[in-house]
Amino acid sequence: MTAETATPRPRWYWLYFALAAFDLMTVSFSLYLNHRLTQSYSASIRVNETWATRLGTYSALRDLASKVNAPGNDVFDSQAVDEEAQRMKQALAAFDGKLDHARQELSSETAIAQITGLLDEFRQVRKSMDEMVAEADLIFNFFRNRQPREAGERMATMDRKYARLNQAFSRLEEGVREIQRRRFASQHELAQQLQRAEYAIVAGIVLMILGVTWYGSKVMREMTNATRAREQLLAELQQARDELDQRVEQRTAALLRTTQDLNEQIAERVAAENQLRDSERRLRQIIDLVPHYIFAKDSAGQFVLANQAVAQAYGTTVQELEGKSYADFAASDAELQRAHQSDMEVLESGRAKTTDNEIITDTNGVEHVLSTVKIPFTFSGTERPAVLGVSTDITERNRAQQALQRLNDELEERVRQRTAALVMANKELEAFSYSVSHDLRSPLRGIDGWSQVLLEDYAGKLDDTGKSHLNRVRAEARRMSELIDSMLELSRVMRADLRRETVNLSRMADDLVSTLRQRQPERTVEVVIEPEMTAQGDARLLRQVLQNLLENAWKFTAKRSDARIAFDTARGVDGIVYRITDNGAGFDMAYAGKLFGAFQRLHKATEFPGTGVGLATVQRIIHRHGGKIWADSKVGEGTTFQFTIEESA
Amino acid sequence: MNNGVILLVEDNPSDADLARRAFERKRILNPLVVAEDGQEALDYLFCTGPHAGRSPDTDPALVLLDINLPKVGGLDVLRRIRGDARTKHLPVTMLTTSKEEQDLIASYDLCANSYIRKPVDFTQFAEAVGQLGLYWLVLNQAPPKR
Repeated sequence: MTAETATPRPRWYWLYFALAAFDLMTVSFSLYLNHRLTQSYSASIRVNETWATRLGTYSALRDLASKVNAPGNDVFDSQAVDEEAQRMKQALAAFDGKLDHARQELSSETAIAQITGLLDEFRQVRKSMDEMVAEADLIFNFFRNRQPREAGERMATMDRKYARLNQAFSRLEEGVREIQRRRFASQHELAQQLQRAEYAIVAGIVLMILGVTWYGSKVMREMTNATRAREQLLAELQQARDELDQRVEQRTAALLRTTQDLNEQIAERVAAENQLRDSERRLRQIIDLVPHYIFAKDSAGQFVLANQAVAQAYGTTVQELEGKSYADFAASDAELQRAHQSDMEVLESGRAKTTDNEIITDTNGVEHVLSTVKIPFTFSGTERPAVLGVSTDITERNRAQQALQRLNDELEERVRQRTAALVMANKELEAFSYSVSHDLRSPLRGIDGWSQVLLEDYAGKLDDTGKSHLNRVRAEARRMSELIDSMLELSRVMRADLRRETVNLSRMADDLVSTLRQRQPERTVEVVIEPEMTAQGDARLLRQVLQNLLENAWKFTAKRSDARIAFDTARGVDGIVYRITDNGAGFDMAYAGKLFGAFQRLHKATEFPGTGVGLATVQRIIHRHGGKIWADSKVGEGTTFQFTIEESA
Repeated sequence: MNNGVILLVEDNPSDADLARRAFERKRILNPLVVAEDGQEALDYLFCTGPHAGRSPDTDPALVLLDINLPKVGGLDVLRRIRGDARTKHLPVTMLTTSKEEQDLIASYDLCANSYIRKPVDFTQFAEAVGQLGLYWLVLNQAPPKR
C-alpha cells in the first residue's frame, strides 16, 4: 500500500509573507514617525529658546532706551547738564551696540517672511532714538544757554519721541510673539499629522493581529488535520507490519510442525514395521495357542493357514498341513462334501456363515460337534479367494448345556409346584383369617351377651362375688376380641396391596391427635408436629403406623402431668428419618429386641393396656415400604421411635 | 312406625336371641323372623319352600343379613334380593362379624343399604341393633309398595 506522506502547503501561505512585510513596514514607519516627532520637538525647543532670548534682548533694549531717555528728564531736576549729557551718551552707546547686535542677529533669520517687518521696526526704533537723542541734545543746549523755558518746551517733544520708540518696541515684541505663535501652530499641525499617522498605524496593527490570529487558527486546524491523518496512516502501517510479522511467525511455526510431524511419522513407521513383524510372530503364537480350530482354505479346499489345534486333530504338523487339501484328511465323503459346499456358499455369497452342531470325525475316529464361523477372505498379495474359519469344539459344552437344561426344567417344575403350594397356603391362610374374624368372634359375643343376660335377669339371685366373676368373664371376652382384631390387622397388613402415593404425614398426625384429644379430653398433652412432612407410601397403612405410634406415645405419657409428644423429621444417612418422641414411661433397652415381636409386651397390662401387636404391625408396614424402624428409650424419661420410608419404589 | 316384619338372617341362634333381646330392650316390637341360612331367607322372601304359603304382600320392613351363612351366602342372598323387581327396594342392612374390606366392597357393590359390624360387647351390640331398628323403621321413608 502507498501513503501520501508529504504535508500539503497551506493555502493562503502568501498572506503570511504579506503580513510579515506589513509588520516590518509598520515598525519602520512608526520608528520614522518617532524620529520625526523627536526632531520636531527638539527643533521647536531650540527655536523657542532663540525667540525667547530675542524677546529678552528686546526687553533689555527697552530698558537701555529708558536709560537713554532718563537724563533728558533728570536734567530739569539736577541742572547738571554735562553730567546728564555724559550719562545719556554712555547709555546711548550701550543701546546702540546692543541694537546693532540684535538687528544683525535677527537679519540672519532669512527664512522667515515677517523678518523684513521686524527689521523695519528696528529702523523705526533707530529713527525714534535718533530723534529723541536730538531733542535731548537740544534740551541740554538750552540749559547750557540758560534758556530753561525753551528746554521745557522741547521736553514734551522728546517724550513724544520716546513714546514712539516704545511703540516700535511693542510692535517688535508683538511681531516676535506672532512668529512664535505661528511657529507653534505649524508645529501643532505637524504633531496632529503625526498623531493621525500613528492612529493609522495602530489600526493597521490591529488589522494585522486579527489577520494573524485568523490565519494562525486556520493553519493550526489544517496542521491538526494533517497530523491526525498522518497518525492514522502510521497506525495502519504499524498494524499491517504486525500482521505480516504474525503471519511470518505462524508460517514458520507451521513449517516447523510439519517437519516435526514428518520426522515423527518416519519414526512411527519404522516402529510400526518392527511392531508388525513382532505382532505377526505373536499372532502366529496366539493362533497356535488357541484351542479352537483356525484355518483358511482356498476354493480347491487346500489349506492356506492352519493352527496347531487343526494339525493335532489330523495327527500331523502345521508345516505339513499347509499345502495339503482337506480331502487328504476327511473321514468320509459326506463330511468332505458338506465342508466343500459350505465353503462355496461363503465364497459365492461373500458373506459370513455360521454352522452349528456340525459333526466332524478326527483321524482317531472320535466324533466332535463343531460350531464354525466362516468368512470370505483374500490373502494380501494374491487374488486367490479363500475361506477363513474358526471352529469351536462344542461337544462338551453341548453336553453341559443339556445337563443344565435338564436341571433348569426340574427346577422350574419344582418352583411351579412350590408356588402352587404357596398360593394354596395363602388362600388357606386367608380363609383361616376370614373364619377367625367371623367364627372366633361370634362365640365371644355369646359369652359377653349371655353373661350380661345373667347379670340382668338373675341379678337378684347372684351375690356380688358372682356378679364380679361374670364381669370378669365379660372383660376377658372383650380382650379376646381385641386380640383377634389385632391379629387380623397384622395379617391384613401382610396381604394388602401397597398403593404408593404422596401422603401428608403432618396432616394425618394432626387428625389422629385430635381424635385422641376427643377421646380423652381430660388429658393435657403438648403435641408438636412439624408441618408439611410427606412420604411416598400407602396412605391407609401409613395412617396405621402413625396411629399406633401416636397412641403408644399418648398411652405411655398418661402418668405425666407435663406430657409431651413431638413428631418431626431429621436428615439421616439414607434420607429422611421420621421421629416420634414422648416423655412417657419409656422401657428398658435390654428388652428392645422384643419390642416389635407380635404379642410381645414390655409393660404389665394393669399399668398400660394393649395387645402387643401394634408395633409388630408397624414394623411390617415399614418393612413393606422398604424402610427401617428402631427405638431409643430410657425408663422414666421417654421413648423415641424413628423410622424411614424408601423414597421411591 | 312401620309395623312390618324384621327378617333376621343369622345362623347362630345365640346371636339371633341376643338380637331379639336387643330389640326388646329398645322397645322395637315388630315381629322378628329368623332365617338360619341363606336358602331359608330366600324361601321366605320369595314365598317358596316352607314359606310357599306366605303372601307377598307381607314383605319384611327390614332385612338384617349376615354374610357367612350356610348353604347360600349372605352376598348371594343380597344379589337375589336386588335382582328381583319386587324385592329390589327392600332395605337390607348387612349385620356381620366381618370387617374385611372385600366384604364391605362386595356388599356396597350389591347395593346394601348399610353395613354394621356386630360389636362383641353386648351393651354396644344392643345399642347398635336398637339404633338400626329406629332408623329403618321410624326415621327412614320406605319406597311406595307396588
